Amino acid sequence: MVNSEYRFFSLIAVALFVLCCLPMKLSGQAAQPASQPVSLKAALVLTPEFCATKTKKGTWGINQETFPVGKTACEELEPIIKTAFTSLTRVDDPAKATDEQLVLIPKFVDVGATQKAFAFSNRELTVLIEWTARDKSGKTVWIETIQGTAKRHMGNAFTHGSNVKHIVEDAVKDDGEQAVAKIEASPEIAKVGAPPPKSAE
Amino acid sequence: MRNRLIALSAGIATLIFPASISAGPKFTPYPEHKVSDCAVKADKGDISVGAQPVEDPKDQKAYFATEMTEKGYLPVYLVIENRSSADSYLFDKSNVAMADASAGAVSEARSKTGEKFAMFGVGGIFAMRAITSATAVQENLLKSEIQSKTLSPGVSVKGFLYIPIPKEGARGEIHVQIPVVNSRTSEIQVVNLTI
Repeated sequence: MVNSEYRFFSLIAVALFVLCCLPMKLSGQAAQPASQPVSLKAALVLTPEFCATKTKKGTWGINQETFPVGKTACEELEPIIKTAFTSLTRVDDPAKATDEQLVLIPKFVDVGATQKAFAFSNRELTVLIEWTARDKSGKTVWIETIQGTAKRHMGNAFTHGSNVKHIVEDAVKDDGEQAVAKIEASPEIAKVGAPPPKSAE
Repeated sequence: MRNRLIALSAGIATLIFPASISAGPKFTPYPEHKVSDCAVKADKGDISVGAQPVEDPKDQKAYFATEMTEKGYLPVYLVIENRSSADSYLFDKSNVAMADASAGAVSEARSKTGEKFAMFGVGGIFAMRAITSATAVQENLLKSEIQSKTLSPGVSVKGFLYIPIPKEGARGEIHVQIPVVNSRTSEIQVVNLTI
């Protein structure tokens, strides 16, 4: 009797797995063609001011929290953005990007963070970064504002600090990954690396 | 011992994150509009702009979980469409300029392209903090706001501007200037709207 019950529930578990997980895996395999990096020498400008950006949310003395978005962005963005170009150099001043065909400048627009009453409630963090791309002459060729978001438990008195660190990391990484997708899909950035059109004779 | 530790941390957490922090308001998503659906429309070259002010306090409550007019802001839904089949345009939110008849001090702001526009308080970060201290409402305002974007051929950008208005009495006409830059020629197209 016990054996037959065990078999019955095992069968249901296997059926649920096949119904739920297999289609997800298949759909994941069908989509996502491999993206190509843009054939450009690019510079990523991460200024000391950008790296020092901190955002405070909430009311001082009650529930104020500090999100070190600049420090995290300067640690996480470079390796992510590197995948968008054939060559990427990090500089701390746009004037130092002398050899690059494209200069990419991120700027924080704002940060939004919800707060929850309970430690195990999920809260959301939104980091808005405005990305500006300039060509060698300094002309702006592309601008895009990207919302990086992440969800994580609010945390209790012991885990709150670590949760803040990780939610900022996740939101910044999400922003960077979306930026890579937008850069690779941008016809305006592709034109920067393209040879000039031949004039009609 | 472990249970005591959990109970202690839960107690401290309750003190640090009091229940006064709301569980979260509900926001009705604002229906997407095309330029042709908007109450105010204007065209300039390849660029077409529509604006739809959300004046009704009930609508403001539904979409933003707060009545914004009584706090001195008018949410205006904006949609900017690039109707060119070849050229791209750069929309830089920081260059949007506004003025109304009652605006006293109008400051000057220099845009990235070197053009000068008269401008005052373009909502945004300051609006969010003035409108509410509730973090979920602030985050929704942030996510709903129109942002800078490259308008490739056939592409549009949508979102809200939060325009300062008098808290009491009828508001005057609001003039909004929306400049966009042709990314190939650097030519500026300025679209004017009166709301």
